[in-house]
Amino acid sequence: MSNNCLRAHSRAALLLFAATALAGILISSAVPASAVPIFAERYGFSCSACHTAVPDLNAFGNSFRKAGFNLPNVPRQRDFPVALRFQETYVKDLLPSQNRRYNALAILISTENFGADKSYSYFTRYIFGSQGAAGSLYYAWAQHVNPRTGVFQRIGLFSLPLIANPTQRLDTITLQPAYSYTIGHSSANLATPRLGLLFGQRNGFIDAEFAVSEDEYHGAAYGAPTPPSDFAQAFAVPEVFGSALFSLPHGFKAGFLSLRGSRSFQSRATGATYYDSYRREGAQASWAQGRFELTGQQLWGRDDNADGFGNPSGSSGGFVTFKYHATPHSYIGLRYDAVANPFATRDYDLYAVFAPTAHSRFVLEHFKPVGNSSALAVTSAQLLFALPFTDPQKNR
Amino acid sequence: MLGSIAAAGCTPGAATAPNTHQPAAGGAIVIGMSLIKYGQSSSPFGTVQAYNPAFLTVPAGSTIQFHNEDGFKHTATMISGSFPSANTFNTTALTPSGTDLATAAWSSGDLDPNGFSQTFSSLHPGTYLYGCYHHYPAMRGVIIVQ
Repeated sequence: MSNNCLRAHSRAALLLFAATALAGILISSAVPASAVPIFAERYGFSCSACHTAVPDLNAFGNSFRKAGFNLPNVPRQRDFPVALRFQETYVKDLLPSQNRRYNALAILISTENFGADKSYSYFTRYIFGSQGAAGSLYYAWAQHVNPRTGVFQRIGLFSLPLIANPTQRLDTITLQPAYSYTIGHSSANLATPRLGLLFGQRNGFIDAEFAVSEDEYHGAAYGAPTPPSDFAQAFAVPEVFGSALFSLPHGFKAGFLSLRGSRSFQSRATGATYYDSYRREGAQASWAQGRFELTGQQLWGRDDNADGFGNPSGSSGGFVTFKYHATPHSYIGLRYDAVANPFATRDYDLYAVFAPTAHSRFVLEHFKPVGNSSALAVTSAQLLFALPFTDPQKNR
Repeated sequence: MLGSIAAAGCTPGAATAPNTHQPAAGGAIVIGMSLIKYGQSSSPFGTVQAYNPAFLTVPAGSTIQFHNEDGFKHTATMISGSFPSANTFNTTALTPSGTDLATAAWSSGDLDPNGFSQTFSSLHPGTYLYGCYHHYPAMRGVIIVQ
C-alpha cells in the first residue's frame, strides 16, 4: 500500500472518528450510562452514580470500590451477586500477527459482602474463552476493609494498584504499553494480576498499598492468547510491590511505586535454569478539575540477567493521558505512550467513548505509532454491555 | 473535532462547570451532604438520609445552603409530591437553579467535594422534598418552612 493510500486511510479514519465522537456526545447527553448491575441493584442507585461509561469509574465509584463495595449508612435493597459483561471488538486495521477482525468476549463477575457489618467481601472475574484461548479466572480475592480507617487486607488473585488500572476500569481498548512491556522471557510487567497478599490504607489523604506475591495469572488476558515459550517461569522469591499516592490540594495526586522480585526460567528442551532479579520503580501523578483529567506515569526498570547469559537490561516506559468529559457519560481521550525495553516505541492513542443505550458503552479508538514508518496505525471500535438489565428508570 | 467539543459544552445535560459558591455570611443554615457520614432517620414523609439534618424545620425567612462533605459530587434537587421509589431526576439537576425553595425544580447543581451551593431563601411556608441526582434514593431530605 502506497504512502498516499495510507494517508488517505488515516484521514478517513480520523473523519470517521470525529463524526462518531460528535454523534456519541449528542446521543449520550440524552441517554446516560449503565453500571455493574450488582451494585446498582444493591443500593438502588442510578448507574451514573459510579460510572461515566461502564466500566470507567467516577470519583464516587472509586471511593465505593476502595470502601470494599460497602456503604454502612445506606440500607441495602436487593443482593444479586452475579453479573455478565459482553464486548464485541472490531479491528479495522489488522497487524501482520492478527487474523481476527471481530473479537467477542464474555466476562462473568460475582461479588458479595458478608460479616456483621458487611466489611468482608469477595470479588471474582471469570473470562470465558476467546480468540482460541481457554477461559480462566482473572480475579479471585477476598478482603476486609475497615470502614472507619480505610485499612484493608486482601488475599487471592488481584491487580497491582496503579494510578490507571490496566484492566478492571479500562477507559479505552488498548492497554498502556508501559504497563505491559516485558524483558526477555520474563512476564514481570505491572498489568498481570498477582497471587498473594495485598494490604494497606486508602482514605481521602493517602492510598498506600503493599503486595507480596507468590505467583501470577497465567491465562489469556482478555482473549489474547498467551504466546508459547520454551521456558517455564516461576517466582524464585516472593515478589514485593509498594506504592503510595497522596491527595494534594486543587485536584492533584502524586506518588511513587516500587516492584522487586526474582524469577527462575527453566528450558523445557534442555532443563537448563537461569535466574533474573528485576526491579521497577515508578512515579505517578494526576489532576482532575471539572471536565478535565490528566494522568501520567513513568516507570524505570532493570533486569540483572535479562537473557540468561548474565547480561543486565535497563528499560523504561510511561504514558500521559488527557481526558475531556464532554458530558457526564462521554469522554474524549488522548494518550501518549513511550516504552524502551530496550528498543524504543512511541504512539498516540486517540479515543472517543459514549453510552449509546442505558446498559452499554461504545468506544472508537485510533492507535498511531510515531517515529516508525513501518508500524501500522490501528483503528478499532468496541461495543460493551452488561447484564442483567434492570429497571431502566432506576438505571438512568 | 474542537468545534464539536465546544458545541457539546452547550448541550443540555452536559457536565457543568464547578459550582463555586462560598459559605454564606450572616447565619445561613448549612445542610451537610455525605453518603459516608450521615445515616438514616425518619420523617413524616418517609425515611430520610445522607443529609444533616435530613429533616429540618425552619421559620419562614430563613436562609439555607448545602455543603458537600464527601470526596465526590452531590446535588440537592427538589422533588415534587412525595418521594418516588426510584431515581427520576434528569440532568437538569446538575445545573444550579433557583434561589427560593418555592421555585419549581430548584437544584444546587453538581457540587464538587467541599463545595457550597447557592443560598436558598424560604419565604413561603410549605414542605420541600429533595434528593441527590447521583445517589437517590440513598440521599434524600425534607425541609419544612413554617
